[in-house]
Amino acid sequence: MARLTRMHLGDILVVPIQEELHDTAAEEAGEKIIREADNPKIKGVAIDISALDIVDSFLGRLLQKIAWGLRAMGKEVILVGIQPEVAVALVELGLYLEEINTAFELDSALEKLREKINKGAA
Amino acid sequence: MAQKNNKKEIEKLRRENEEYKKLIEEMSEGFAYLEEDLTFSFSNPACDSAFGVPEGKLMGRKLQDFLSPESFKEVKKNIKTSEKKKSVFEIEVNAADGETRYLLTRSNPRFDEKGKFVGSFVFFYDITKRIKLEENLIFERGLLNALLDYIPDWIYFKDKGSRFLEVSKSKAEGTGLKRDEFKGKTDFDFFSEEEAKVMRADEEKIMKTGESVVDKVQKIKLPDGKEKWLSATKVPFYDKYGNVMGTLGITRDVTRLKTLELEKQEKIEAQKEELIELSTPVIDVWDGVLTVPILGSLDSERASKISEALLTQIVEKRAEVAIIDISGISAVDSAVADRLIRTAKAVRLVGAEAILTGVGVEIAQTIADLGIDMENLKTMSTLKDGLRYVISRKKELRGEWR
Repeated sequence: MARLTRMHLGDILVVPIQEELHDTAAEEAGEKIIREADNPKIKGVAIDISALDIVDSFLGRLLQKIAWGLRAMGKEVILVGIQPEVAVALVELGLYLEEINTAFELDSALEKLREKINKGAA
Repeated sequence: MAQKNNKKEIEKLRRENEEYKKLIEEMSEGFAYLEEDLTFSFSNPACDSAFGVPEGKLMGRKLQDFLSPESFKEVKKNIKTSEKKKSVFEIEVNAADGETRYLLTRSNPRFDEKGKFVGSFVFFYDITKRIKLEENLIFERGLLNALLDYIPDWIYFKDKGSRFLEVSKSKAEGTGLKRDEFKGKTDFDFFSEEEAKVMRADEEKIMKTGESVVDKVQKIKLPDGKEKWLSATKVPFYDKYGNVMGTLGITRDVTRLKTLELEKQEKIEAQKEELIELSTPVIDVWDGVLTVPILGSLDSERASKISEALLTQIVEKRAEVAIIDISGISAVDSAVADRLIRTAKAVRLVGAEAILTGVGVEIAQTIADLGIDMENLKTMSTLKDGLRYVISRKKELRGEWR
C-alpha cells in the first residue's frame, strides 16, 4: 500500500490523504490512523481529503467509521477540504457526516480543532 | 304373348316416366319448358322457388315479367339460339318474392321442320350467392386498391418470411419499382443489412408474440439515400383458423414533425441552460458570506446546478456562511424540501454553514405537514434576519478571536 503521511502538530494528528484509496488499502489506512491516534498526547485528528475528487460510498462510510472510532476514543475529528463534487456525492449517498466537523483548509481546521479541544479541556 | 309383352313394356315405360318425373321434381336445379312466346308451360319446384312463386304457380306466366326490359331482349335472343356458346348465360331475375336472383341459364331450344322456334327446355341454376360474393370481393378489392393507391402513408403486407405480398403506391415510389413488382422482395432489397435485420427481427417478434409494434419512431436511410424519421406501426394478421399469415404495417414519414420537435427541444434545452445560469446568482454580500436567492420553481436539475454553483463559490471565496433564500420560491413539496436540505448539508460538508431564510408561514406549514425535520439546519423567516444573525455572529467571533 501507498505510504500514509502523518504529521503531529502539537496535540493534533494531521493525515492528508493524497490519492484515492480502494478497499483493503483504504481499510488499512483507516486502521493506521486509529492506531496512530491511540496516544494520550493526541487530542484531535484532522483528515485532509482535499486531493480527492471522488469519494465512493465505500470510502464515505469508511470515513464515517474512522470518525466514530476516533470519537469513541475521545478525540476530536475534523474533515478538511471536502471538494464541492465530493460534498454533493456524499449527500446523494445519504452520508451527511453530521457529527463530524468540517473545514475548507488546514488553517481553519486547526483553529476549529483547537477551539474544541480547549472547550473540552475547560 | 305379344300382348302381354306389350303390357309389360307399357308398365316399364310408365315406371320410367314416374322416375323421370320424380327426378325432375327433386332436382336442385330449376327446370322449365318455355313456349314459343316464352310462357312457362312447365316448371319444377326448384324453378318455382327461384322465381319466387308458390309451387306450381309459375305455369302460364311469362318470362318477360321477371326481367327488366333491356335484359329481356338479350335473353330472348339467347333462349332461341342453339349455338353452344350462347345457350348458356346469366340472367338477373326480379323474383316475385321481391328478391333479385342471378340464374345461370341453359337453354335447349326446339324448332319445327321449317326451323321455326317452338319452345325450349331451360335449366336454371341459382348462382346468386356466388355473384354476391364476387361483387363483395370486387367492392372490397376496390376499397383496398383505393387505400393502397391514394394514401400517402406506406402500407404493406408481408408473408411469414417477411416477403412483400402487397404494397401501397406510395411505398413503391422512389424505389423505381411498380406496386406489383414488390411481390416476393424483402427489406433486404431496399435497406442496409443492419436496418433490414432490425425490421425482420421486429416482424419475427410480432408474429411470435402476437403483440403489435405501434408508432415506433426511428431514423432510417431510405433506398434513395435520404434519411428520414419514420413512424412504423406493424401488426400480425391471421387466416380464418387463427394461424399467423404475416405482418402488415403502416409507415408514416414524420421527418418534418420530428425535426421541428428536435429543434424545439434543442431550443428549450438552450433556454433552460440560460435560465439556470441566470437563476443561480451567488451573491457575495459580506466578507465570507454568500447568498443565493432562489426564484420560481425548483426541479432536481436546477437544484443540482444551484448546489454546484454555491459549493464552488464557497470553496473559491472561502465563505463561512451561505444564506439560501427561498422567499421567492413558488411551491415547496417534499422533493423540493429534500433538495434544499441536501444542498444545506453539502454546504456544511465543504466547511461552511448554511442558513435557510425566507421560510414563510406557508412553507413552514408545508414542511411541518410533510414531516420533514430541518434537523441541524438553521432557518430564519426573512433574509434580513439571516443577514442580521450572520453579522452579529461575525462580530462576536471577531471579539472572541481578538
